Amino acid sequence: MAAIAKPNLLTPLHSSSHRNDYPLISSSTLPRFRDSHLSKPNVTLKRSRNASILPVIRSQNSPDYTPDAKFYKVEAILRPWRIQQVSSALLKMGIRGVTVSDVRGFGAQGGSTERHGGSEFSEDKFVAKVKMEIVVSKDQVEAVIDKIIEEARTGEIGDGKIFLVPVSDVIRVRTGERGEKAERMTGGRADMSVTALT
Amino acid sequence: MAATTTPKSLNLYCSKQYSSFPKPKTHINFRKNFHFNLKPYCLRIQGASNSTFVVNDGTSPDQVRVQILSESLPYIQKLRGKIIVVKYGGAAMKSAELKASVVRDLVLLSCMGLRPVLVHGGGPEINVLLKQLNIPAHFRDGLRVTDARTMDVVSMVLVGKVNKDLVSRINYAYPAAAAVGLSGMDGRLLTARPSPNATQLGFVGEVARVDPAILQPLINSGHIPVIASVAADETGQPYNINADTVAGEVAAALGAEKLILLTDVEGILANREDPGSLVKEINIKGVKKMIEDGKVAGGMIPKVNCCIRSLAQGVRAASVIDGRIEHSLIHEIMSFEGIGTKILG
Repeated sequence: MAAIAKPNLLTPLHSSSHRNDYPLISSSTLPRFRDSHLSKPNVTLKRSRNASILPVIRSQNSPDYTPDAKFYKVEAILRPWRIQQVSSALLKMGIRGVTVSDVRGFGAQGGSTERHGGSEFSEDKFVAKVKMEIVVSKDQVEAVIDKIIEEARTGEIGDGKIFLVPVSDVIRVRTGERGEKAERMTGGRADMSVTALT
Repeated sequence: MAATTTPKSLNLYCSKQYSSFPKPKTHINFRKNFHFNLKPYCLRIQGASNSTFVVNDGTSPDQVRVQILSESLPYIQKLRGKIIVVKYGGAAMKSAELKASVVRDLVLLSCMGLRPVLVHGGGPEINVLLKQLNIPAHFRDGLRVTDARTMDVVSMVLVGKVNKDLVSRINYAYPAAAAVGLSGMDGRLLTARPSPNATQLGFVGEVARVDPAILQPLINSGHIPVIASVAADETGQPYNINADTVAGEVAAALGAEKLILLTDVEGILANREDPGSLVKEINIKGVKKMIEDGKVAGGMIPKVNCCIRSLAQGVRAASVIDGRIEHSLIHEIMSFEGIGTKILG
């Protein structure tokens, strides 16, 4: 699936990788990336050393190239009061790790206005929303997206948007596990499908 | 009338067999107005043997009343302090008894700790005055064609007559309650803009902005705001706004728990010819499908649309109930099943 990473996503990854053995993005590439953000919309992740862990992900001028990864972050910007519903539905589905933050934003809808708290909000007036970030493995992505849409949709302008971002690696802080082991949570979706089969 | 209870509510809280009613711990002060009209109803109390029996042998009205009040606790607890916006219009406004019943229910809710806000329309009254002044009344698609003279009359009737009539009924029949009458202009509560087809309809408006700042201190101090659906635009030109829309937007602005629309029908009927096919509960997707299928039609569509709009803005539940039934408001709020159609998010 096509995914275009947003520049501000790199900063959390960058700040966590202070172990110099396996940098995902070295600091020298960050200014480079900002330039590329202005000129080219595609992501440029440059690896300076130790290419053993991850394959080089290089995005080019070729428009057909879509970055592929084992994990994807589903970033959903939703109405604040829908969060409870969405997260209970995700829990039931077996998705047990979610990050939520309060954000503000506007998204022009071609002239029609969004209603929030009784008032109409035209372009350039910020409306409060909530951003939900979920990192899941590739096979779970579609199910998560469908579930979020099902629970959060009201049909009115202002329901929000979902962005899909490839994630190169998932690391658990407590144990240092990486990859599939780190993404998996006990009692989560992977365990649910296993018990369904047995 | 108040003694009708649904079996579900009783089963939850009458698990013990009541051989003798315990003396209530707190002293409940029953004012003279507050009498229950107890008719011989068969109350289903789940005793040891799941059988129904008529409670009327040997138990006095006082005991039944105490028991019913005690059962109301879960509903009161769930809703205490929450804001409930009630839109009052249509047939419920025509008869004096129904008016008195709605007013009484509002005061009851207010005394129980819920925070009601009343929004009203007043079509019939406007027509009466228009006729006396020999101004013709035109309607297009259910909306009143409002030219400048009609707008004056609408403003006078809604804000001057209907609003103050409701406020005085609340204040003078129930001295403990305090109602305050407002229109959209007061405290810039509502700001209007012309609706898209203003060229055909005249001064019919849409809600552009709601500023609930004036309502918060009133609600917090225990007053019941009574809002007339007239508002001005940025230049001060008054507009006539549909009361259902005003109720929906005010509910969204206040973060209300419930929006209740009192109408002339039982609610949303799955089959228009069959009055027994009342839809009790439905969600936004379901009701949109019903509109697509044509099951909801006519005057119900704008009501349902305003419910959907306010649900999309955070109101928990929007109900369409029959205002012609006495005490329908209490029935909808203080019972498990309610009396009309509840639309959830």
